Amino acid sequence: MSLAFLIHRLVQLIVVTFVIALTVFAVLRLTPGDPVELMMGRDEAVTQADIDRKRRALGLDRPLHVQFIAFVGGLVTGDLGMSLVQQRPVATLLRDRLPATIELAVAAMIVSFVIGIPVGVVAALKQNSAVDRLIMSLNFVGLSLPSFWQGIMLILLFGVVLGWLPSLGRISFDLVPARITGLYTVDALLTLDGRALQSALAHLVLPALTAGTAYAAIIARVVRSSMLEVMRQDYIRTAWSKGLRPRRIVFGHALRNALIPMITIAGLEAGSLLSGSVVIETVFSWPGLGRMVVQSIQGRDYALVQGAVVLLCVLYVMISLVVDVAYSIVDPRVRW
Amino acid sequence: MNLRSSMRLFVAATLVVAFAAAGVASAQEKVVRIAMSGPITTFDPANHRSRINENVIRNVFDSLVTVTPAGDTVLEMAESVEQIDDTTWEFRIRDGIRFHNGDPLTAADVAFSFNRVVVEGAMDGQTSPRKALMGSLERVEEVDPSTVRFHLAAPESELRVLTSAVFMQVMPKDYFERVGIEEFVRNPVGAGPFRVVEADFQERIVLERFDDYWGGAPDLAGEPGPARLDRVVFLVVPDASARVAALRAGDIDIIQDVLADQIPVIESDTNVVLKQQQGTNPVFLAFTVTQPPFDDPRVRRAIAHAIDYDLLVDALFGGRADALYGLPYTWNSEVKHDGLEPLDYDPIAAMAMLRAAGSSNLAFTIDTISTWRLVAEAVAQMLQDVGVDAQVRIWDQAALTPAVQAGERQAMVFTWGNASGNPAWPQFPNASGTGYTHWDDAEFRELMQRAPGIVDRGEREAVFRRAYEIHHEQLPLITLLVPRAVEATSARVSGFEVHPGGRVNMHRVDIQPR
Amino acid sequence: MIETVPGAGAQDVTSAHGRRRSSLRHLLGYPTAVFGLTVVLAFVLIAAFAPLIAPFDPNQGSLLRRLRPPVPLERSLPAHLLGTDQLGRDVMSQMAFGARVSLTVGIGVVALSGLVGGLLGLVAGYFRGRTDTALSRLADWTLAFPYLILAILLMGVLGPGILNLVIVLSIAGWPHFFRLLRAEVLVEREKAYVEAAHALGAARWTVMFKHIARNVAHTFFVLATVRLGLAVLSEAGLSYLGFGVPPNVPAWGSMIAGGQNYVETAWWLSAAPGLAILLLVLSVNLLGEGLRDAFDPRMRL
Repeated sequence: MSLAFLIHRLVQLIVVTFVIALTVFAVLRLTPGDPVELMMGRDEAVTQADIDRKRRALGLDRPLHVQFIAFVGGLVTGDLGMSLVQQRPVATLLRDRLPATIELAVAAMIVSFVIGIPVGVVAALKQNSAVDRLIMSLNFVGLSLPSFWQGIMLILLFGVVLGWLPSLGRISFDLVPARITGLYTVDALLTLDGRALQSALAHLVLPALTAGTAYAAIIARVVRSSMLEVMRQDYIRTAWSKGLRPRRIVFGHALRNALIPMITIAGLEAGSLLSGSVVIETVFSWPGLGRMVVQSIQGRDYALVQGAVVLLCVLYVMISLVVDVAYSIVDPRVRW
Repeated sequence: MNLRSSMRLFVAATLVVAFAAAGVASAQEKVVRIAMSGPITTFDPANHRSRINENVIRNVFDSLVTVTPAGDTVLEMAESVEQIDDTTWEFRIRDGIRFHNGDPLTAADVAFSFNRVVVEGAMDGQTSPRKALMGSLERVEEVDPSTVRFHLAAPESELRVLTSAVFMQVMPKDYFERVGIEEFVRNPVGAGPFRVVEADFQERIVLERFDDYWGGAPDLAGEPGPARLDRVVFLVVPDASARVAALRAGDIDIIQDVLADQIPVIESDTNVVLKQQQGTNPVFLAFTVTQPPFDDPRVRRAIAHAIDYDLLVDALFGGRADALYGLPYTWNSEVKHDGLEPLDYDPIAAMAMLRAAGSSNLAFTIDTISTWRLVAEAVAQMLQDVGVDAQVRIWDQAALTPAVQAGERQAMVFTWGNASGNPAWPQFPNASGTGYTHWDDAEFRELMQRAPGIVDRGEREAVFRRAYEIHHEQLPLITLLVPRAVEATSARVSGFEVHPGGRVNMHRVDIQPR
Repeated sequence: MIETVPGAGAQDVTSAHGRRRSSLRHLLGYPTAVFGLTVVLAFVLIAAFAPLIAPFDPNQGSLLRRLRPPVPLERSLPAHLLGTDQLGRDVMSQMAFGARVSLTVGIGVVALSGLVGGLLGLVAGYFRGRTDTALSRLADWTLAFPYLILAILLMGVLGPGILNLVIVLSIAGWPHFFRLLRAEVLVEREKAYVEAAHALGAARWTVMFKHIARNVAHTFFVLATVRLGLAVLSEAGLSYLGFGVPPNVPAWGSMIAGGQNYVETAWWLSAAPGLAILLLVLSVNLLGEGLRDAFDPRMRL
């Protein structure tokens, strides 16, 4: 991997970010139902004068290119305007919400690996047995579950009926955690605050499980099939016949082979977790960016929608980029 | 020791230390967590008209006068009140009250705060949406550092004067003028029992006890003094079932707006306490009367006869509400009118009236917020039964209110409280600028303006009754019912009573340790 | 630039040319696939005949009969097999009409995004060159957006509606078909039969649509089932959030949202539509798996 490659990818990142900003900008302004009309609802009772008045108030009567330049300039300098509803800078609001989304995505990823990898290994080792068939059936269920419904059912079971786990928010509301990274679990560890750590972890369980289920299923499948593939290879057969310990074979050779597809999956997963955050965060009242997108669209908070969507998209692109780079490191065959 | 095992050791050690720390957590703080049904929009006591904002603001700012959970109007920061003449009232302010920033609270702060509300355009050219709550209050004058005078445009009863003083809290003039409104909303300073430490308007507001609090109204139940609680946390939980679930799970201590359907679940749980009181917030169907089809009173009356009020009360509220049948006053109103006919449910008559008005194919949208969704949908369903195509659309309060006030909606289901039993109530939800209907009847307006100042009780009531008659004839809004105020708390909470107006004042509330 | 679904690129896909004919009969040998197909067909029938199946108007209820549980639980009413909701509307009727929304949107999205993405993929793979570069870049850019967030943004702006759902989810979904078809065609166009067809003087469009398209059709159908399941889930998610269908259209996602307030007291309101989504998507996925095994067990999507 060369420096030129890295530079190339970084330039691409900038270009893509620009395209995203342009698209979000265009979508919010050029589609038939423009944001002002959206804000006002769709009744005969809305007069053109009302719409014009609100347009002026939002600076939407300026020429499009002027607006776009102002928006891009804002992106570069980090000034994303003011939230209409909250009367606070959009950038501040986004900064407060970002760690929540990242923490949930990372937790969900950990959950999916912790469940997906062993399950996939077991299924491969017991190929075509009843266990394998059961695992593969559950797998399909995991892939087909509507996540918001799964979340509601988990809340009902573990939060309401059993009362084992908290069902909303990031941390017990009587704790005000230290703000260092904004990731409550990390901050709790850094400040050695056991209560906060416990509470933050307990609050993470249900949302992370909900968000991670589909990916656990995908990972289990990938691990299973790549294990099966490897175990058919000559060198593994040789290893078996030489009497190497099964653990060595499984973890030393077969699982390592599954690493490359897993990186791809991890990248996709991280991206899709950002996408799914809009639903999961809403179900669990998780104060992240996804919920903010939903809230701001519902609240017709136009500057906030713009900022939150662009930020989520840019994160998504950055993750894809990291995955590509990681990919090129672990698999030297991949060339660009 | 290789890298991997040292990593393992580190993680293990960290976890051990962390969980050990959990065991010796510092002396437990007293925290009460309150679930709100929606986000707040400001900390400016003069720039809102919503109960949610008021609930938070009221714990940060104190008023001259307050209302107890029993509904009595009592003096708070005012020590005494005296009538000087027909239109002048003098309030003496208690000594030794300090704002959160240490500044003493004086008459100048009181005059500043009230004049910001009652003087047209006093808020950077805007007029405060709370002006309509101030009756005929024209101006507040600072007489000396501990005395203010309320100058009214017309005579009013003592209760009405006191009530207008309830509706605005006192802000620190110097601080406000120094930092400006934006910074004030970011870092609000009041003289209430709590100060703001953290605020994400859409998620949570964290308040902390103000140790130099002056003590609070002597007439409130419980001992005066600083708040018992170390912290109060307000959380936005829009979903009603999530509020109940969180209360039962011990994640929340006080919830409001309990749906009637959830009451059995709450009653079956010994860890929580259900509290209710006869409500004072009428729920109504309001029309924008400046736009067709609701500019025609016949259409509004026809709609009123298509609504089965008793069924709404029984089926949606399990009987925990009082039907209003379109009448413009509530059980606690100072003035009632037995001569007004309650509007009865008569779908056949409704259809005939719609035909007569040429509106047989009526189609419109009812806008509301999630709290009133069920009522709105039930009303829409009843309207569909008489051939009206009514759809319901749900909004965030913050998004809907400005559109409603600008006259941009057709019909809406909303509520407007009347905790003080004010006979002038019907004019508020109809008031121009802050109301819902944009209905402006010259005679009604004149009567409502004149009535409060009439000294003779019989005559005053007669004028109010005449205004009721006009409202009932014109029906700019159809009052549906008054739900009982149903709230629930953790059994550990003490000193909290349901406030008829739905307010959450934490001044004397305490909580048992777990 | 951005990696897509694993295997949607060329590397894993081998041609099943010549094995196709026996495929359908082969498919019947997979009991899970048969199950999937049967359930999907059942849902299609329910959706098609919803007005006949639904005993009541899904939007009309009676407050006197609200929140009744499904038969045969206590307090249930025989007329309302699956119970009633908070406004006394019949849950079964809403479910039947909800199937319409899910399937209309799901099939509509697959048809529209498959048609557009597939055609463009064929063209890009066959002609390569500048067309290919431009289209691939457009696909990359679309995929640079998180799927659901792009959909929510567009739905928030366009407003709720079934047609809007189809358009929006297709805008977000067409690149998947594009990439797959393009990769397939890149492989196929180098094969002998294509060369032979060219040599025999067949026109380029004929070769593309008649010969190549037929040989890549099976992969297309497998991807179509995967995307169908995803489209149904996305529609449900958008409707749950309130960005999907208008309030007067019964959809499974919005039913779950409406029933959420009653999850403790009237669990059937959220259980029934949730199970329906799960069953439909599961069946679609099982059918897809069966198709894949039947066509080519090595194919990964």
